[in-house]
Amino acid sequence: MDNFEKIESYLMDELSKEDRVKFEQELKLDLQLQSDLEDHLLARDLIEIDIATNLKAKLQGLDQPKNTKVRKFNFKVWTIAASLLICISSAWIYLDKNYSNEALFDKNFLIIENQVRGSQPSSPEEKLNLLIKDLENGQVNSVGAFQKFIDENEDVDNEQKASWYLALAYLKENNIGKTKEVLQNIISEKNNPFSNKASILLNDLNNVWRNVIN
Amino acid sequence: MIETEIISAIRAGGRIRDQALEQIYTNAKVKNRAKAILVKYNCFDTDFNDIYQDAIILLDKNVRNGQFESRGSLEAYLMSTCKLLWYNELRRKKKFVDEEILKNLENTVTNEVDQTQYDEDLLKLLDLTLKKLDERCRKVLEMWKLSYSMSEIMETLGITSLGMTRKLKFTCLNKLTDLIKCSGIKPIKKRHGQF
Repeated sequence: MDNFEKIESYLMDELSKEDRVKFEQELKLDLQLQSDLEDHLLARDLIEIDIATNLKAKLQGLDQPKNTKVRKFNFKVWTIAASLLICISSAWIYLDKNYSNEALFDKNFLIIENQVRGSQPSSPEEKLNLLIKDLENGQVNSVGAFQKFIDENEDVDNEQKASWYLALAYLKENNIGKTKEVLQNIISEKNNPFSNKASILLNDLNNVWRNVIN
Repeated sequence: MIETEIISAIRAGGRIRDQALEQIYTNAKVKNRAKAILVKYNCFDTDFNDIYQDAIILLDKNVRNGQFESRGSLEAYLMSTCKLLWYNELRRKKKFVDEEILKNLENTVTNEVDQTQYDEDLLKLLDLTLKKLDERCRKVLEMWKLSYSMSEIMETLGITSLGMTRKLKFTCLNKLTDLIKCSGIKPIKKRHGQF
């Protein structure tokens, strides 16, 4: 058994009583063994210092609040977030400009207004033009006025035109269900000159992006 | 864990020691009592935390090395250790301290040896030896010294057999003693027991 093993067995208390006595007698006379033992004890002291250092770090860790992690400013994440925000805002503005009830009303009302201006004056037509002007100016109860005009009017052209404006009046009041209902009636009528426009407007109203902004 | 179980757990070492030490350290009642005592001697927040941690380290070491005598309660032992450590700290910072406070504290501390302050040579030796060993060696030696079983060490370090674990511990300890020999540094240190 070399010194290393002997010393380890001695320190670990693994020697028999006789061997222990023998080792201690040897120790008194052997300077090298004394020096080796001293080195072993030093090694243990050093390991103890390491243990104390690690325990200190562990205890300090226990003092740290568990839920207050300091987050580092992550430039990349913030850049992505900002870009996303810009994209979403732009998309929102675009959708609102093109698919909101107000935008669809303006888009469709202006086109027909030109046609109205070109019509020949006659009593029911003049009345209809006045109702259209009222609708443009935001007069209240345009829906009721157009509905009444349709009910009382016997001329098919005026009735078709009035139905189109009734749909727009519902749209202006944000009553989408009724708007769609009137548009579907227009589309279903054969030879209705507003049928194409009604289809386009109905498609716009059914556009999935409208769900995002409404 | 009750007090006797805590002491047994520290003596047993391994993972159960970690749990016991965490339980003492996080016991707010004991910690607040220690704080209330040390505040009287001008020991506040940061200093207190440092002293309290060192007291736990000292308790751990003394229990493991058989130097802890449970004459009183564990709590009383911790309180007197805290006072001793703070007394030593105040002496080191003498110029900043009221002499009366120091004297009052001196009357309350025991004669126990403060083992938290290390000789400069020992710290130098640490840099030249243990810190030169690889992480695996340091870990195996630490676990062995903390009485982890060979199977716990094997499992933690992902070693394939108990024989290999024993061999690793032997090799690492051998390396460490060789490095100590080569360093030529022989620090003078007060020892308990052995001689």
